[in-house]
Parts: sequence; structure tokens; C-alpha cells
Amino acid sequence: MLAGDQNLRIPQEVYAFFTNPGGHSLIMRGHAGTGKTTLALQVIEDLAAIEKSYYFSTRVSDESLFIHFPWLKGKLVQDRKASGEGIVEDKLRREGLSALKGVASGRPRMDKGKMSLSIGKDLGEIEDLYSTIEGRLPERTLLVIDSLDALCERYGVGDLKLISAFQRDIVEGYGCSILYVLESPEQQLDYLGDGVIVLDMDQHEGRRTRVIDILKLRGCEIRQPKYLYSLRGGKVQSFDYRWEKVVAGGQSFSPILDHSDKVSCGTADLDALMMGGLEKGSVVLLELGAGVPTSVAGEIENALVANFITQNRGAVWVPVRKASAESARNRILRGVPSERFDKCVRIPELASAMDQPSGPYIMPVEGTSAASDLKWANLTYYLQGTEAPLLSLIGFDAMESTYGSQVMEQLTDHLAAVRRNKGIFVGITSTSTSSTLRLADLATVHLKVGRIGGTVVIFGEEPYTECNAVTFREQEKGGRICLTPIV
Amino acid sequence: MLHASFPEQSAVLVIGSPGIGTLEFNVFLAKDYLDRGDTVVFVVIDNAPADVVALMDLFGVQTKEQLGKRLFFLDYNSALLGTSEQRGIRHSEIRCISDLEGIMFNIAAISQETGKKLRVFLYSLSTLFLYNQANVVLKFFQISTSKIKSDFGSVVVSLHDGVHDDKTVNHLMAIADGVIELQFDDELNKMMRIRHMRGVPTSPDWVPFEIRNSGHNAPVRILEWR
Repeated sequence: MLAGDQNLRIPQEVYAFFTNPGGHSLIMRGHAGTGKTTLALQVIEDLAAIEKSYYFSTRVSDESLFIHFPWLKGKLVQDRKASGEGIVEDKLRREGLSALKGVASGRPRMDKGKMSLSIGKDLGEIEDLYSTIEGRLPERTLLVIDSLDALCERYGVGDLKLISAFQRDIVEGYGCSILYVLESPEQQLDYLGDGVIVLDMDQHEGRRTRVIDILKLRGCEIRQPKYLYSLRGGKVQSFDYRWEKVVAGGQSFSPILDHSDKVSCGTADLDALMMGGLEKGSVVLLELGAGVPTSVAGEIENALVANFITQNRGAVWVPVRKASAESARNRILRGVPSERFDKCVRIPELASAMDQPSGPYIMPVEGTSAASDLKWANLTYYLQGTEAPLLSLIGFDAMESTYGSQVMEQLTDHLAAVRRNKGIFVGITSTSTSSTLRLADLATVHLKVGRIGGTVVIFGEEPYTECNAVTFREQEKGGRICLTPIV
Repeated sequence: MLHASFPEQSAVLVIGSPGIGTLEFNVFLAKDYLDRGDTVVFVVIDNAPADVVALMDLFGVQTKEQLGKRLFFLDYNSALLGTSEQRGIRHSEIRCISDLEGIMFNIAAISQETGKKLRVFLYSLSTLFLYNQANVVLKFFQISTSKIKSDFGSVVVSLHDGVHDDKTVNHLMAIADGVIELQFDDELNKMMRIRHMRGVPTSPDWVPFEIRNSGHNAPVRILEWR
């Protein structure tokens, strides 16, 4: 899920923390390469509509910054207010800074001569930061210091003393906010900030993942302490796992057409993950890991079925989680006409369990042998009037509950017929099914769906891909699943 | 900002190591006073007045506008050297004096002309010791500072460190209301401290100070979100 607001890229809690009344200080730390600068800039962008922000970098030049983050061009400009012009002097207190400089508190006069004499420790850029903030008062501003370690080293000031000075003067005195980027991952300064977030890199089945760990946000409720995030395109995208915010569907389904002889699975991002789509005659395994929500598997099934039948292609469908034919049909009917569904979809159901007349989309089966129930000739008979390729979408949890754990033995002919007739077989397995390994051996495409800290991810074993965070968003064509690579 | 630590009517002794920038420190204080509208009298003994004026210009003092109005120079240097050259400055803007009595006489005259409190700077007392007996200079210091404090305002007197015996320096420090020391540390960083100041609590800590060329400051690298 995207963080609460669809346009918000930073964690909802961090946004709420900075938008609370008053000034706030946030310490952001993490190892090199975790994306601290990127997140700092993202915080500025996401708060841009609310408060004026300044970015001060001790690490990279402005030119390098624009090279690394091209999207900043036109958004970040050289500050012109650092001269301190227009400052109402008698309202300013620089007690913390004065203590650092070793002089009496108060703001030094701006000398206009060619020479000047400054008393106290020369804290050049630190004083410029003060002037910048003071030049905006009483407006509340956000100052990002990237990084605090380098600033302290440059001026020979202890980080503890500098944070204390900023806290006293800028945060509590002026009511402005500061985001400190710390290069060292140590936690000894954590108690000095109003909030602390840690950026970390981890691994999931050999793929890199990134996690924002929210340790504390004073005065702010932390509902989700860990956020998976991506740095795609030089921007941070964090992922909210509050599933209740899933956008309800309802608009008519517009299919994604074949591309270069490959058939779309109804989700553009999944097609991209499979190198362009499904090859005719292919066997696809979608392996659901522990804790994957029903909604994700359901969305994948829905998009796949809808994309086939809106192109008048036939589909044999055994829904996962033993969903009834009626409920499966209702899911698809949100975007597809019922006549189309009834014509193009066949859902096998045990004839012995049918106690009343059923719809045309029900395909009665005996339930003793999958080989005979899913005989290719029978399927093509049931799906007369539809076009090729035919989709065989099988939820193995439901299949194994009907035919037993050795169901793969009974599907040999079916799989061979799919290949021979250029159909497409998609098997969906879960942690409880026994057929996963066997199907993995046969599959030409093997995708895995898992869950990291609440966020659902999809990645390919065959073809091998990085982790992709799953989000839902209405698309112009195809289903609502969006994938964001965790890079 | 430093003058805030000075009692209103006081005599402050600035003792500076050679080369540390005692004259610049005096000019800095003088500019501070001028900026807040005070009248400054600069008694020049070590340097030509033109050099001090040029230094004041560098510090941003509008000398052309202030000279003869709120900024006055008493030139004792020319008399000591036997010259009368005033490069770029009109004679009318500089009052030449030829003896110690002339200093107090002119200060009194300026006070009467302007009708304002004066901020007197004397740079430096050390040179007076070269041309006068030590006891004469000590007496001058005691009498002139008392007179200025009581009748005209305040005075800052400079003394070069290390060129006078301890007894003389201690004597001067005892007379002064406050003493500011300017010294280099082991790494030749400029440091200062207020050794004592009448009626003002002071810290024993040495505080760094710098004299710098404003034009050479690195540009501020703070980026503003549009």
C-alpha cells in the first residue's frame, strides 16, 4: 500500500510529526547507501505545501546534488535570505549558539565592511543557518542538515553540543523544525531528538530490501513502526500496510492487449516482471508465501481472468482459498459484463455437491480424477465460441482438497495439452500445498509473493528479479495491482 | 556587541600581544560605538591617522561622513615623529597635539563642541612610555582616565604585551576598571578574555576571535525549496 495519502511518499507518522504544532527535531541515521539524503529531500518535498524548507549539505555540492537528483532542478534554489536582512533582532535569542561560540547571547551585527572582527568561535555556516531561519520568522520553517557529523567535524564542535544548541534556539526558541541526517548509525544521540528514524538495508530470499524503522516520534502515535521503502527514480516511496485503505474497484475492465506475441496477465507491472507477458504454451507458478492477504491473490486472479475473457478468450478457473464459483464470479462482474463471464469462464464444481440448478459458468466434475475432469477436449467443448489461447488458472489449495496432495500426477495430460495447444497454465500454490516443488520443476515462469513487515512483495525466481512492493491503484488498463521495485 | 560588557563610564585597558591585531580590535570597538550613534575620539600615537582612517574604512566606517562630526582624531604621532603629513585627510579633520596635556585639552574641547558623551580610544600607551618617564605615563593614565570617566564618558587604552615590566602593567591594571587580554594560543589562534570588569561577572575562559576579510567568505550553500 502507498502511505495513507496516495501522494505521500514518506511514512504517514513522519508527516504527522512535522505537521504537529510547534517545532520538532528528527534524527535520521543509517549506514551509507541506505538513502538518507533521498529521504531527507523527500520529507522536504512532501511538506512543501505546508512549510518553507531549507536543505544544507556538507557532503555534496549543489551541482552533484542536481546530477544525482534531477527532479530537484527548479525546486531547490540557492537561498538568498542567508544575509540576515529583514531580521527583527530584538526577538532573537541565540543562547545555545552563543554558548557554543563562548560569547554572551545575542545576535551579532552584520558587518558591511571589507574587514570584520568576530568574537567567539567561528561557526560560519552554522551562523548562516541561524540567519536563514531567523530571516523567515515568525514563519515556521524546516531545516534539513545533511549531515550533522560532517558539520560538527568541520567546526570542531561536539555533536551533542550542537544538537543541544539547535534544540534550544531553533526548535524551542523559534518553533521551527530540524531534520538531522547522521552518517554514524550509533544511537548515543537519540535521546536528544524529538524523533528518531533509522534507515536499514536487509535481505529477503537473496534480494535487497530497505526498511525505515521509526524508533520514536515524541507526541505522535506510531501505528506502523517499520516501513518498506524504495529509492526508485531517486525518490523515496514508503509502503503502508494498512489494507483497509485498499481502493474499492468498480470501473469497467479495459484489457491489456497482446504484445509481441506475448499474452498479458492483466497487470502491466506483472507482465514487465515476466519479460513482457505470458508466452503461449507456458506454465506459470505463482507461489504465495506465509501471510499473503487474500486480497492480493484475488486481485491477481481477477485481473488475469478479466483480461482473458474481455478478449473473448476462454478460462478454466479453480479459485484459490476454495472460493465459491458465485463469489468468484461476483468479483469479476465488478468490471466485466455477466454475459461475457458466463460465456468465457468455467469453474469446476463437484457435481455431487450441486443441489440446485447452476449457472452456465459452472462446470460439473466428478472429483475423482483431475486428469479426466480437466480433459482438454472437455474444456474446449465447454468453452465453445471462445478464442485461443485458453487460460487454465488453478488454485492448488482447492485442487488438493478435492483430488488429494498428489494432484500433480493427475495433471500431466492437462499440462501437456496446454503446451500442445498453446494455452496458458497458471498454478497458484500456498505454503500448505504439496504440489509447489513439482510444479516449480515444470514451470517456465516462477513468481513468489511474500510479506515483509506487513508489506506484500512479489519477485521472480524464473526469471530472477528484485523484490517489488505491491500496491493497489486504479489503472487505465488492466487490474489494480502496481509493483514498485525495491531498489 | 562587546561594549555591552563595559560599564557606562569606565576605563578599559586592552593588553595585546604584538601582531595580534590590537589596533583592529580598537577599530572594531569604535565602529560598534559609531554604529549605535555614539561620538568617538581616537587618540593616535603609534600610527599615522591616515592609516587608522584607512583601516576604519575597511571595517565599514563611513569616515568621510563621520569625520569632524561623530568621529574625531587626535594626532600625537606626527608630533612624536616630527612630521605633519596627513595623506588624504584634511588638516581640519585632524587635531594635532604635541604633548600629553594636549590630549585632555582636546578631548574636553570636543566634548564641549558636541555636547555628547565621548568614547575615547588611546592607541597606544606603550609608545608614550618610549618618550616619557614611566611614572609620568602612569600619572597621565590615572588622571586622564579619571577625568574622562567623570566628565566625558569612557576610554579604551591599549597596551602592548611583553614590553613593560610586570610592576608597571600591574599598576595600570589596578587603575583600570577593566582589562581585556588579547593573546595567541600555542597554535597562533587569536584568543581574548575579559580579565576583569568592574561590576560585571566575567569568565576565565579564553574566547577565540578572528580578523577576516569579509569578501573572502565562502558563499552560503543553503538550498531553499521553491
